[in-house]
Amino acid sequence: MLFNSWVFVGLVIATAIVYYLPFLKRRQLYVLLIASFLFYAYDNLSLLLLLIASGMVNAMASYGAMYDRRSRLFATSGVVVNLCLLALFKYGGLLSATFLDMSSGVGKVLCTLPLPLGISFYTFSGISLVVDAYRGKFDAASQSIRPSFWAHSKKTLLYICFFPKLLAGPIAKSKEFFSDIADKQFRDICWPFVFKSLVVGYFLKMVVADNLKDFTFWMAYPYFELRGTGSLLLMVFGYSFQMFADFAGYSLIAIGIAAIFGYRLPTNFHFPYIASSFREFWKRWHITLSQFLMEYLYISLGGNRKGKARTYVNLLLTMMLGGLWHGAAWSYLVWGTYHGLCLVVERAICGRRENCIALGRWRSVSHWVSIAFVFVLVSFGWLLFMLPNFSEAALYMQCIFTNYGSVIFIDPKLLPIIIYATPVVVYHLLYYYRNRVWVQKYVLRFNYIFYGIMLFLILTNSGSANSFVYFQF
Amino acid sequence: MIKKSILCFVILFGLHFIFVMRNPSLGSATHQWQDNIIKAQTFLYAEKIDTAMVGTSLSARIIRDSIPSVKSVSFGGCAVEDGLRIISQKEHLPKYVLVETNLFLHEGSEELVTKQTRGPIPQVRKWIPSLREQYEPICLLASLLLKSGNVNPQVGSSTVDLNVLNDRIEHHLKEDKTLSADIAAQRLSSIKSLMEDLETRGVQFIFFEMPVNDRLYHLKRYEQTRNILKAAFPQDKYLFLPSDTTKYLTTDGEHLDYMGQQVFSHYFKELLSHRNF
Repeated sequence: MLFNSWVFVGLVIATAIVYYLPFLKRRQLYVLLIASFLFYAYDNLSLLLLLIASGMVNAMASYGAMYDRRSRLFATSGVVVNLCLLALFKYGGLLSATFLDMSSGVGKVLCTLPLPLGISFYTFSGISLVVDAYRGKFDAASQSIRPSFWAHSKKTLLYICFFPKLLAGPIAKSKEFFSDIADKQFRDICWPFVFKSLVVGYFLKMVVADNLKDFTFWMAYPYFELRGTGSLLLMVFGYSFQMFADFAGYSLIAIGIAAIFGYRLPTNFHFPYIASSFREFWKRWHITLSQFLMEYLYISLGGNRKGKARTYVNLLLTMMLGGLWHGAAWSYLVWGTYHGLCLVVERAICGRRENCIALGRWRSVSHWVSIAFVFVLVSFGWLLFMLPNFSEAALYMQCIFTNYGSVIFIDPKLLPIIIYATPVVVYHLLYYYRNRVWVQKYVLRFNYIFYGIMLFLILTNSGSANSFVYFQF
Repeated sequence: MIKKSILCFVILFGLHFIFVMRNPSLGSATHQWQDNIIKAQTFLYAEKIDTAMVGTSLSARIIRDSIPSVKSVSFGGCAVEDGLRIISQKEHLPKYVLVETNLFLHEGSEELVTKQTRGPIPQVRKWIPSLREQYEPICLLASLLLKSGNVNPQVGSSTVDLNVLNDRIEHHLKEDKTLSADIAAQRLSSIKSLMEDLETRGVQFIFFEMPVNDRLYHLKRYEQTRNILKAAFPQDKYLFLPSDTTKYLTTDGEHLDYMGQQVFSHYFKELLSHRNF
């Protein structure tokens, strides 16, 4: 079920009405669970069973990890089951295509397995829950008074299946989410927060991303071969803005919807395109995934505690696995390696400084150069998302250098990319200059005009509805 | 803040509504899919239409201004079937429907048709024109810019890259495959049932073929389509317009360049005027 569909809007309204009925006050958790199951089952009923099974396994593993003598065994089993689920359903096809015979036996079975929506997100939530339970970083209330397994299971199911974050995050931390589970009051809803999150989220998704996709469509093979260098570059940067608008829009909608039900999901995007280093970029882009990889993978591998060489290897490994998490194709591994190498080179040159090339009185200029440099490299990285076939991505790069004089440099029909990318640029610039007096006085003071314009454009200028890019992950 | 934002929205929407009502002819598509949607909506919300044309991106290139009496529902990237489904949704059906035959058996795009015909939104668009695709602010802006620059949006490029053209022709020749008999029968039955339904409601069909590069004229898939059509729609009952034998320059073997579009549009116009369309 798409967030930008009428069915979803109907589900949210109906759930909110039932959720806040006074006589169902003690049953709010069940209302959210039913709504979440409906949301998930709408696309594929049979895969709902897998989701519930995954939730129950995580409930058992985390409960055992917290309260049983064999906590290590429970925690290890929980993590292994989650990883096996991910390996089987998400990477089975890739492994089969690479190493097995796809026409018969196990290879054939693996290829026919469906890809459950959101599996990467809900298995990572499960791992986070089990590891936190084992490490004792868990809901304080649950640790002081031992709950029944049933009570713990209900909370775990909600944590795993909560529909606003089920398909594409944000990956909430179990500790924060569990402590947020309580009876909610309608009067406690922070409407300005809900309104802002939903308007900006839907605007980014429906007006920016859904419109940009009709122009970046021409990046597909073989269409790009006929385009000039300027058009190819314009589409690369357009796709970069589309990726941001699509995923940041989704996250904001998820955060806004969750807030209607009294839950605060963590921020997932914090103006990533003003990052002046790759380190900063990953602190601003898909923050909850970065934190997950940092906490459960990078630090577990030894982080930066074992010397420079090991730090570089750990960084590279973390980013490679993070890349592969995005999709079952080797190009995602290449994408992760690319970002890992950028982080390693940056770390080797700049250490832990954010702005690598700050040069005395040229500081401001060098800062903007850094921002542009990071943006350009990140944008070229997205090429592997648009063209997962590595040879096509390489050919695209080749065309950038060879199609200089042979065809029209920039096709005027692609110029609307600039118009649709402008709101994303303005969004970042307003944040960057938020403390300037003129911004405070003339822009932020009249923010309601921006929200009015965004509402107007959502209604009159939305692109054709498309599923969110990150759903496939 | 919320109230002020909503007030701003209402004012903007009101201004947009008034602007659209005063300038109903404004609005230009900015990409192919949008062009398809605008065509579909213009057709669906038009009062009464005498003659319509269905087809693919090949006939979508016929210059619309040259045959204003014919409303085109030929969609780029879509199929004959999509146009027929759009037509079947209309209350007042056209008397004649011109059907492009080249890619007659191509499978349709359900998305295009369902989004324009199902649910409450198409009904809302009928009464509130400012919600139609044609009047998106970006389309209005594009239209105003074209108008101020005195540019006709239907004017395309006549620059043909001969290397690309030859590559594409070789590609078509190499990849030339016929549909399996089962699939072809299934596709034909689906389209024919739509046509029969329209015929019972008084519509007459006239077939025409778009010119392609002469090296591609006898592709197996084209021949297969011609044979199937001849068998399914006998010539004593259906009118097949004569094919244009002029040698046209195409951009990729199948799609006419702008010069070709002009010449063929003129030919097509003459052909129709002889038959009093």
